Amino acid sequence: MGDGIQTLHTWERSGLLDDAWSRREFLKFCGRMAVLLGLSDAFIPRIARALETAIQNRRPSIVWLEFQDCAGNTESFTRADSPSVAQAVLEAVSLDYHETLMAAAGHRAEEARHKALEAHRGQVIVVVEGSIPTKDDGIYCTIGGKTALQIIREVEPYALVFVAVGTCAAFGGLPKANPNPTGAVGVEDVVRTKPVINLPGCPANPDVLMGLLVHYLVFNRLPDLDAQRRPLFAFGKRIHDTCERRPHFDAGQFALAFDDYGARQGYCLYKLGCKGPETYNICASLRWNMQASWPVKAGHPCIGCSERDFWDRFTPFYERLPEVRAFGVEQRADRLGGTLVGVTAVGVLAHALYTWAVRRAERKAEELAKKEGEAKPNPPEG
Amino acid sequence: MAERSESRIIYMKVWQAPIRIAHWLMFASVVTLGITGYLIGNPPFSAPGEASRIYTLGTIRFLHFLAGYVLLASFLLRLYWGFVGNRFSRWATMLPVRKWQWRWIWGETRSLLWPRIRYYAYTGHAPLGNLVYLLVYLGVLFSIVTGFTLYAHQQYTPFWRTLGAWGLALFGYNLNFVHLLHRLMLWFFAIFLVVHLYLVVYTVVVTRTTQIDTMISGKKFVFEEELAPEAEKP
Repeated sequence: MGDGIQTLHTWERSGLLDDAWSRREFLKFCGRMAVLLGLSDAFIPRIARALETAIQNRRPSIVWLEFQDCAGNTESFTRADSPSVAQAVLEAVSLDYHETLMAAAGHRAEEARHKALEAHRGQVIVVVEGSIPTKDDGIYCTIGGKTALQIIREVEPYALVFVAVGTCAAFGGLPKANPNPTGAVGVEDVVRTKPVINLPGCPANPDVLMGLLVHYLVFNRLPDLDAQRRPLFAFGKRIHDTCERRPHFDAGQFALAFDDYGARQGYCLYKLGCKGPETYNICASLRWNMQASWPVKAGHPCIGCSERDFWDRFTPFYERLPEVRAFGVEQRADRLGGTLVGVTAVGVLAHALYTWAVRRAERKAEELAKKEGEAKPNPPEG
Repeated sequence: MAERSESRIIYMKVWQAPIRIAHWLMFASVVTLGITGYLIGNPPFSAPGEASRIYTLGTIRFLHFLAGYVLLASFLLRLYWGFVGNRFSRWATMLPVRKWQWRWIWGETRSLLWPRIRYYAYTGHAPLGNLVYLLVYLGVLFSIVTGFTLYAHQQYTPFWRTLGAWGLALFGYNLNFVHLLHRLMLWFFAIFLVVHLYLVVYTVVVTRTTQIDTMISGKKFVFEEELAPEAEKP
């Protein structure tokens, strides 16, 4: 580790160190990044060195584009109350354009983007926050007179990779929710020629974005992705399988209301509609706000905010399964199924009684005919 | 039907051993899957005590997955036997692709709805029965696909990850929807069970043919002339 510490000393003396955080904090950050990426502690010095090189060279260039969003990912990243190491590192690397964070405005801001793009052609990491409207030529989101779609097209040739931060940028998110008035789509539906990495979440976890950046800086390649372009290091497991309340699920201990005994005991929130079993994210192990907490720890079921179209698919949030829309009536799957079984049973019973009645009538008629036949004195032969 | 009673009745093998084994394995596994599946989706209890000492839902889920594998195995056995078994179990005879089968299906439906109208008995499955069982086998297949897609998403080996990704892509990357479809299959089988049990009893009572004991011994009393291929065309 000596080498890494030496590196850190150089780095401290270089004057690039922001006074917001200490060397100790930086080392802890590197350690956490190693854990996040599943690396051994031998990699901590390498991570430190990679970050140092990146900061000294001020590259790769990062351009952060905001479209149909709430700036929630930016907010999450800056974590207003205490400037995080992650934010500082990202800014130090080279955050050349960020509408919310940059000091410049108007034409000068656009100029900064242009400069950054021209200077690092093909090497720009384009972070996109927010969905992209496509309806009516995308007029629902314009910046500096250009639509989001035009900006993406303009930036695409300069990009190394597009990083879709947040569920809106990754999958369309809330703007895409039914009825999707702006025809919103995610970055992956628009970008054709460059790789796209999705970091969904509402908001995305800032440490995951840092992990992605660190992975690129250390190994000079992008991390392994799953079928939905999400990095496996962060989206490789379901919330349900990493959840601290999981033992209560296996035991069969559930909170049935938000204020009952089970809720106070920290029992599993499965029956309150937790979407942890359907959601791939790292919340349970990485947590939020300086690893302080995360929704399930705070007592709220997961709503699956990092999954595709969660607003349409995972609602109602406090029910286990979505509604079944049948005959214009919204029903729970079990109520619908139970009703159908009941109707079938009644139908079967009715059919049995009906058949029995018809057959009985037939038998009666036969017996009657027989009796009448017997009553006749001389039945005809043959 | 008067001439029938005069014809020779023989006691013949209809359902071969693999068919019977598959049938009862499916019965046992589907009932187990239904009960455990209902409990997993809607656990009606909250076990008291320390979570470290109890594993109630874990055990129920284990039984569910075990029964799922049994269902898969019995389905594969049935699938295979549909290609090599006797003529009563062949997929080729089960598919309603000929005109007479549809005529027969209509005749059977009519006699079920209007019990005054009699229809023919059939040695194996009659075409209407075949249609229903084809639907049920599709239901079994659908449950297996959705079930193993859900199962794959709890396993993190490359095999299961690939399988889970395929399964998820099949359903528009909507894992919650897969859960819903899988849940609805429970009610599909519940309805089938009610109808199936009723029709078995109905057939025994009304047509006086053996049904339940046939699925155990595999043998059935059959009119000899029904064995002629012409008998398939009423």
